[in-house]
Amino acid sequence: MMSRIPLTAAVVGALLVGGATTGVTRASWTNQRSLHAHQVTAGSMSFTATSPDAVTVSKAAGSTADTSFVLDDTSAGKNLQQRITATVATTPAGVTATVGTSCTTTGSSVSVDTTPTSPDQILCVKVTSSTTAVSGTVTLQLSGAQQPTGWATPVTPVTVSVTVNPVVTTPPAVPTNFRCTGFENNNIVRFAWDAVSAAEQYRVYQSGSPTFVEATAPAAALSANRNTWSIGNGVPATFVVKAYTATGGESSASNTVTVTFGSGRTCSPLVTP
Amino acid sequence: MNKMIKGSIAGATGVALLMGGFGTYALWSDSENLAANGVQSGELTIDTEAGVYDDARTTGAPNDWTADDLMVPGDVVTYTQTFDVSGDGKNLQGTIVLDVEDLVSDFTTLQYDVDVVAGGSGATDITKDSATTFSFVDPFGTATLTATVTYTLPSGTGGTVDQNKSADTPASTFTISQS
Repeated sequence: MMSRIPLTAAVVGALLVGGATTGVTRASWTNQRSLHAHQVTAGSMSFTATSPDAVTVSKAAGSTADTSFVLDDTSAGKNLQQRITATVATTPAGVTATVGTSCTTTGSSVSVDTTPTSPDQILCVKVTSSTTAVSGTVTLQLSGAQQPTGWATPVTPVTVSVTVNPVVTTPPAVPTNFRCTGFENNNIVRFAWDAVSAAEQYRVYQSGSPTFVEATAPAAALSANRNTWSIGNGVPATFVVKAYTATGGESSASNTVTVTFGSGRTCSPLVTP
Repeated sequence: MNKMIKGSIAGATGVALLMGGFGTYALWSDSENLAANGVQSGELTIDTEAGVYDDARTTGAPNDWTADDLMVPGDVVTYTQTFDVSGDGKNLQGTIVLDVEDLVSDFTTLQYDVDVVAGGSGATDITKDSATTFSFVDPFGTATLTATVTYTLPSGTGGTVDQNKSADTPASTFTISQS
């Protein structure tokens, strides 16, 4: 009788365990799929600027020179828009500097909007001298700011070396090899000459006339219309060229070129390019 | 011949007579068919398609983000994947759970959100218990569950913060289970 009790307990226990196990393993449907692995990545904002060439001005009021440099947006980002601002930070004594997207429109600062795919931007730096100017360095501070808000780049300096030369009060050298290079039509003749160092302008005169037509250096050629001097058909006229600087005035006259306008047009010396 | 033998012969004769009589009697009879019948099982399935990215800043241009595009502050990028679920069976009830794996990221300001929306004809029989958990107590037929992972790089992310960073969402399991 005593030996039946443990046996009974074992049987009951086995049944209970079996029931519990049945509860855990009761079959039920299940099915799975994956939300696929994926990724997002951030871009960056940056730009590069080339080094502008050095400039030379005279130590005189209003003497100007300009140079330029290239901005390249090197950012990465589908929706990135960057505004790059260039500001004149420092200049040598007696020198002022301005910056702009063209040399004809400059100010103390300029901003350009770029994207990673937009073309490079060219900025002009214009340096203006005075009678107290000294040589030195113009420094511009460049910075980028994401539009409308967001990232900002560290400030990047760009420098322009400025050389201030003493004012030249003597006339420039005489242009040489003044020549006719041909006609555009019966009324317009083309002239050329060899360039003169330091010349700011060249002036072509009909000999003896105060009227001239000019070319801004470094150009060393121009076209002249006989109507400027009211020269008639078939009448030979002689011309000269003079170099000019604001502080030194005009050089002496060059060799002469003789021109006859009209249907029988001729010029001498004629040197065709 | 004693009495016992005679009795046996008489009994056998009687049984034989009785048995001969069975084969010739007509008796009433009737029958009906147990109608043809059977059972059929329902289903509980989930299928999916490839996920797609979208640039939420550009309206009207669906799926205009690629895995190679790069985020900048102010960008909102979504990754959307659709799951088609079917649940049929008279007593079917259960759950649908997206077990989202943790984002692996070296961003400092990136905001991350996961949400699942039920749609389709069976959506009314599916109860949304949380952003990624659903339950149903009746067979719902067919429904579509759209899981959207949204990544936001706040516009206020300044300086050079979070440039050239990446965030990975590992594959996560979407399970539909009977309960």
